[in-house]
Amino acid sequence: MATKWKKWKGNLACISFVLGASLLITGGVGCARWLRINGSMTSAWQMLNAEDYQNSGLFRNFIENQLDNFLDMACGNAVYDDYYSYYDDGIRFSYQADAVQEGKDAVSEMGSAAYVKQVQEEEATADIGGLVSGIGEEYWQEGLTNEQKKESILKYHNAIKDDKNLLYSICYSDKELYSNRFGSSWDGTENGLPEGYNFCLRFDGTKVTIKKDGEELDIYGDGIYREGSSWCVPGYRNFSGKEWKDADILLLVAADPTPFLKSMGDRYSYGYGNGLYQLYQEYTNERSLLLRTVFCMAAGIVLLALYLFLRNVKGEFSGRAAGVMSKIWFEAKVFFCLLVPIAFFLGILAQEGVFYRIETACYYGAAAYEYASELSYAFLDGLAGHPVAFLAVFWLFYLFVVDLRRNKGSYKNGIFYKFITRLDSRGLALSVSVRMIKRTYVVFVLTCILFLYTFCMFAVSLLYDVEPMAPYGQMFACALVCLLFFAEYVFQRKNREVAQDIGQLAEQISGIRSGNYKAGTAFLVQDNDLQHMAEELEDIRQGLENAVEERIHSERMKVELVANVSHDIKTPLTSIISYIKLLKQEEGLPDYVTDYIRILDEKSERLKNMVQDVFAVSKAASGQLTVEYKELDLGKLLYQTLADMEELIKKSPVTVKAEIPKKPVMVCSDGQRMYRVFLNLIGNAVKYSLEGSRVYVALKEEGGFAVASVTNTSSQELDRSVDFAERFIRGDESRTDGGSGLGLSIAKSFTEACGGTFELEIIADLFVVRVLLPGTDE
Amino acid sequence: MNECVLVADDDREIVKAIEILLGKEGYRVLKAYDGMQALDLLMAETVHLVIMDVMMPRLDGLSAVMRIREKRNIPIIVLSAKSEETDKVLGLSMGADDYVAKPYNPAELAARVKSQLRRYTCLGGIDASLADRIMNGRLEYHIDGHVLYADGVPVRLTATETKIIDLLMNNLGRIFPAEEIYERVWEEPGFASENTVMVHIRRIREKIELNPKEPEYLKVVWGIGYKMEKMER
Repeated sequence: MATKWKKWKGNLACISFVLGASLLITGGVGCARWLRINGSMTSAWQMLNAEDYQNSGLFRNFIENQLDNFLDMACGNAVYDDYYSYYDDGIRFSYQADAVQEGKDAVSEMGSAAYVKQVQEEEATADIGGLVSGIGEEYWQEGLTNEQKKESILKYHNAIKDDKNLLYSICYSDKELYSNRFGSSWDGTENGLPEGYNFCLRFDGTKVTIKKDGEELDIYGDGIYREGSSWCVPGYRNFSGKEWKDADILLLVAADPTPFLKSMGDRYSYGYGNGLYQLYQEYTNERSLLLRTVFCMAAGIVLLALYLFLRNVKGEFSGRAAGVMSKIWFEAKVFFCLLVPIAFFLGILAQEGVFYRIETACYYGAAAYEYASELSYAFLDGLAGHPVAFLAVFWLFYLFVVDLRRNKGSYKNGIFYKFITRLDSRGLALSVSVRMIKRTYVVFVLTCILFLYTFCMFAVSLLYDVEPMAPYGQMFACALVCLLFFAEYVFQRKNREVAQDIGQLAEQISGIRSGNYKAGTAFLVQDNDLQHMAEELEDIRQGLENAVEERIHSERMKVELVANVSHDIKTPLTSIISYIKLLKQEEGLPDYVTDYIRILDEKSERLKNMVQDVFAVSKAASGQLTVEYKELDLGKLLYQTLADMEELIKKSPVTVKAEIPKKPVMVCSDGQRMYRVFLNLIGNAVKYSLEGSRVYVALKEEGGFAVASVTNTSSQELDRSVDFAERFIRGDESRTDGGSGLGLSIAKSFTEACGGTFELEIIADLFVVRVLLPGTDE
Repeated sequence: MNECVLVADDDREIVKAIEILLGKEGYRVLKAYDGMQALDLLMAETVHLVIMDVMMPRLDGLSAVMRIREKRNIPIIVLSAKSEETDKVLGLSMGADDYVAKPYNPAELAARVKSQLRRYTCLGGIDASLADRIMNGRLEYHIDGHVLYADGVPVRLTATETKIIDLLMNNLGRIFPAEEIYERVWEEPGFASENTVMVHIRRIREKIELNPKEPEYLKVVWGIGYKMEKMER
């Protein structure tokens, strides 16, 4: 139950991590975009609070603009409207209006929050006396005749009058000049709003009164316009604007704007006057987007908190992801998790026209920061526009990063790496010099390609005369590459020689390593430094040769010495033994004399054995032991040895247990020598064991080795500081028993002479000897 | 009887010891203390066997053996302090019939002398090509009678030992694993038969070998099995 819960907890943690991070990132992109557009999050807060679009800044701005236009209409001034000026035969105006127009050209296209903000800022910093950039406008009005002004007013009126979302009535000196109330149920007065309209603004020449849902709004506050005041309309005490005192303007706004369609031939079926509807749409979209963003952020944070809470158990997400990722080919990861995300981001940038802009910027040498900000905006907009794709790409990239961090050497699991290692391992089989030469080929071929390419380009530029300056540049490049080509040729030739020398040197070294110390292998190399090295190597070889010769000589001397000594000892010993045997045959001697003779006999026998053992050990130690390798069954050898020693074992107070596998354990060794080894080991074990204890003779196969071991419990305390395999070492220092003290030493040196390993271990009173022989491959 | 044995060694005490040893066995002993002396004595006297040391003044043992072999066919036993296998092989290849390492076992030396003399005097004339006999060095096996002779003397073997000898003498030099010997002699499947076979091998050795501790004929091939060594002569 607990494990099931743990598993569930892990899964839950993973899911919450993925979901939470996804939501948080989506929200983060939304927020970043908002910040980029609006500069701060307070506007977002306001927007969230303003459920009615008529409470939004967008709407206020729109109404302010309309009022401004209507006032112009009432007073007979030309109506400035960018959309109108641009798209409806307004070239004349628009050219003149450039100064005013700057910064405004986006409003009709987007009416976006971004623009509203900008406009608000501009207005706030503008001359307080004028409504909209007064100086520019006045200048513009002055350049027009009355006919032109009239024409502009009529065009504007025609453009917007069909949009019944906004009803207006413009009066001057109590005479209604323009109105679009025809066709609606509105009587043109403030009283009794028609159905569907809930917003009524009236400008009576001095003040503006706004009634929303029947309630009057407080517009002016204390009557002084300040930065941040909600409505920017005539009527503040610090505003001028006396010229409008005869104007009387009334406008109504629908509570729920609907689009209206207007036939304009084959062009825009949406009338210009849809401004309010567009504003409404914009507002709704922005708000829902903002709501989504906030929701995403909140949910993401909650889920991430849940993940942090659950994580400790088993649901470390990145660990799991890394586990999965480690099984995927590296190339696939690079493609899907690195290239696809990059392609996606580049795609977004391209879609937003960023590259074009950068290109333009570069072309005109514009300041980078101008375009950087534009780029960031476009990028964020693009990301927000493709949330699902962005998330997918993000997670792929995340997985890639996790993989890089968690799986060390994850690149090894891939076709490219395998190919490279394959190449490498194949290359390693070659000698150093060959590899070095091969490498120079690669560089040389590349240079050749570069040379050919440059030459072709030169030829093409000459033939087709691409640009007046091009041939000279190409010629220069061509000359450079020629030079490079030549230099490379010379260097590579040199390198090649050096590589060959190094190869020779390496050969020399490996020759010395394999035991070829003989003189006459000195050689000359072309390179000076290498020559020095070769000479040094020659010195080393000389030294080695001398040392080895000396060693061989001294070893031979040693063996000869031992052989001579043992020979010299053997001759008198022969006499001694012969005469003792004769004495033994003598009859009628007193008992004590017989006893003396017995002692002499025993000791002379022991001396004989010792001489033989010393000779055997010294031969084996100096490597002069002749070894006849034969494939044999070590198990059988042990059985034979035990059978051979049967009598001795039977006589002894210990039991010998054999643990030898039935299956043959084949080794390649000298049977006679190994017999001697086990004879000594088992003999020792039997001799020095505790009475009544067991001696274990075991055989195992371990990792390609046949391991024979003899284990016995010592009858005496074992001194661990003593190396028992050393010559003339015995468990008891008194040396009164029959041994020569060479048993283990012989066993060890014979084992080593037969290519085996001899190990000795003392565990408390347990004396363990292991003989390891390399097994034959069956 | 009263065969004459020439003993050559530069160590007088050893010569004397051998003289006493062989004298007890009833041989006449001629003494030489170097190689030249030994050759001179050989010219002068009728000698049936030579015991020759290797390291001697004036003429060393192996050269003397070669010079003797030029003219005579008598058995020669080399007695040397060099106990290496290579020394043994060298001595035998020079023409010696046997090789005894110092310090020797007097009883073994006496046995070897006896064995060599018996083969030289008694068996020398016997036709070795008889079909029902297998000759192998000191050993002679009569296939039909299932009798083994060592130095011409029949060896008393038990029924099992005879079966083993029969198997091994008929396959000189071939190595038999203990299991196979067991299966063919006892006619039962052989498991853990090493000890049983070894006991019998040891007993046979005591009957046929001059020095059972260093067998010449019935040998153990360690880790493989057992075999009857095939002798040159």
